[in-house]
Amino acid sequence: MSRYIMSRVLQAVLVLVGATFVIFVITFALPGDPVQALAGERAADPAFAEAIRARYHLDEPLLQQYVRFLAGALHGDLGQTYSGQDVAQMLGERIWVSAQLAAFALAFQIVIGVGAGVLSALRRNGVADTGVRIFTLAGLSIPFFVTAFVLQLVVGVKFGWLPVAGTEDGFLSYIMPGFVLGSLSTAYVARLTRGQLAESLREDYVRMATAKGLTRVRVVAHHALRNSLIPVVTFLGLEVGALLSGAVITESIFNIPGMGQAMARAVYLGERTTVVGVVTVFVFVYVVANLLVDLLYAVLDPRIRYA
Amino acid sequence: MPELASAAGVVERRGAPQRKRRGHWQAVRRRLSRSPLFYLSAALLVVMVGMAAAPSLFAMADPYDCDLGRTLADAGAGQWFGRDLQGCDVFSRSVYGARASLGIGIAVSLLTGLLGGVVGAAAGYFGGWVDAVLSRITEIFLAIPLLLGASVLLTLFGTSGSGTWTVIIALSVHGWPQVARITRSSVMEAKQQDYMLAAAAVGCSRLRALVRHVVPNSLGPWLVVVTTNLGVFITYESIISMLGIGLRPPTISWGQMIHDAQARFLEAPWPLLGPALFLSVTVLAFILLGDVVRDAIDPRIHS
Repeated sequence: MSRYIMSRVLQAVLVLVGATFVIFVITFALPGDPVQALAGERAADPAFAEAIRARYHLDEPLLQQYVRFLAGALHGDLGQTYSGQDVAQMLGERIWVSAQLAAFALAFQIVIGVGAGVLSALRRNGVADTGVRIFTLAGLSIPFFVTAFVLQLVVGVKFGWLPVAGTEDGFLSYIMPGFVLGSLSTAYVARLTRGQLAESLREDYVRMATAKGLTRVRVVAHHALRNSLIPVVTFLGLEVGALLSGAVITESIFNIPGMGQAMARAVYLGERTTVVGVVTVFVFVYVVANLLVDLLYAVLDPRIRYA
Repeated sequence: MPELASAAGVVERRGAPQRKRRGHWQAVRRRLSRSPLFYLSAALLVVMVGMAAAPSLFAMADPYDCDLGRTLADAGAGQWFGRDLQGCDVFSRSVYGARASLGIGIAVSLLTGLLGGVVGAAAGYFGGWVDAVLSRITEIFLAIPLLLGASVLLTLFGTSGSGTWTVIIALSVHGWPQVARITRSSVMEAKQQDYMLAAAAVGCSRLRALVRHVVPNSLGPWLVVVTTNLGVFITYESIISMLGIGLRPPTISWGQMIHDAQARFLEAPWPLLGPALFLSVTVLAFILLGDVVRDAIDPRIHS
């Protein structure tokens, strides 16, 4: 077990270093001269330009800059923006906002997705199943930003049940954006659960469990569903990436001051340090989530043992 | 009538060896042709492809013929979805938007399918250090969220060349790892089958075994993911254009129309809902197609 964990952790570190390097190289090639941008319309004073370049180590070769960045990141230092703001500190304030949003989204995915999947797998081809299938198809085909606009209009403006945008209302203001962000994958979760559970229900161990007199609820919940959830958990782990991507748009639409909004703004302004910082955090979250998923396998499926 | 029954039996027994054995792909085609959803999605796609190929046949007005005097005009005869802020006919613009969206979706799916297919097949087939290197590269690119990577790349290209090809390249660079992963595992599965042992036993070369046995047998999952990706990448194109970093005027795309209509959505919903409807129907058609293809290739789900 410990050897397996060690090799997985090493692999995760490799992915983290590689992915940040790719983003670092790409942003390094971003057009426009940051020093000139600071100077505005006039040509930058050579002495000033040199000082800035030295301060941000822009005069060093790419690889050296990257190593410097990695060394800093290890100590929790993601550098400064060109306007002198500390990136790690700024992201530290925003990450909790994004985490709350992601938690809401994940909760919607698990509760609605798994619930709908179980419902339709147990009543295959019944009314509930058909309804769930129509809803999942609609959820898959309607782009989630359109869902966002429509919800804002109907629930936010017309009925005024939930705040339209912002985070001033605390808990309430996360419901709508959380649902929108979660709707991205709820339909997939429902379909996956339905397919997997329908398959498990035909397995011998389910027939065995029924034969030995267990209640239907216990058979489904304890024997069939537990085994069906492995692909669902894998999917949710991989989906963390999509969740973070989706946060960029959701936070922009709902004006939520999280990491995604910082990212959208930084990309727009060509603010390299922030872009690299946000992607570093995102990749880190993704890698850790997938590591946890791999370790969860053993918990969910007793047949899997890591030697 | 015992004679008749036995005669029928004889006929059938005699006929059996003559009947051609049906191959896997023939069976797939037969299952496809029996599925009503296949025809539904195919019909929707034919209409959409027709719009992309000859938009003037479907549009009721010239999408570039705008009348500022009729800004945000309501829907009516000849202008089903009304007019947008610039006074352009929303329905006609939505029809003309099909070309960019479909074109990008198809191009990106093919490119990522090709790149991911080759990388995944090489990793799965050769194994060893080739697999180790290719898998690590795949994982690294998989870890970068597609939308973030693509939008950074698009800003990199800047306004200088933000055209159809830039969007295609930006999405393809970050879209292939998923295909590579799926192809790798299906190639590895195919490689372990007995027929590979048999092929090696009769002296089949490694390259021939790859082309003749592994590729056809691992094509199914690849085909499914590439088909499903069509809808996914169309959505991604619209998201990128909606964020304002994708396609730009004069190219018309659904995402860009949604971007433009966003600010006035509360007073005039149709300039946004129009293109959103086209987008949703197209994505729905591709999802249905992907489903039908998957069910036809992997009939275990049916039983």
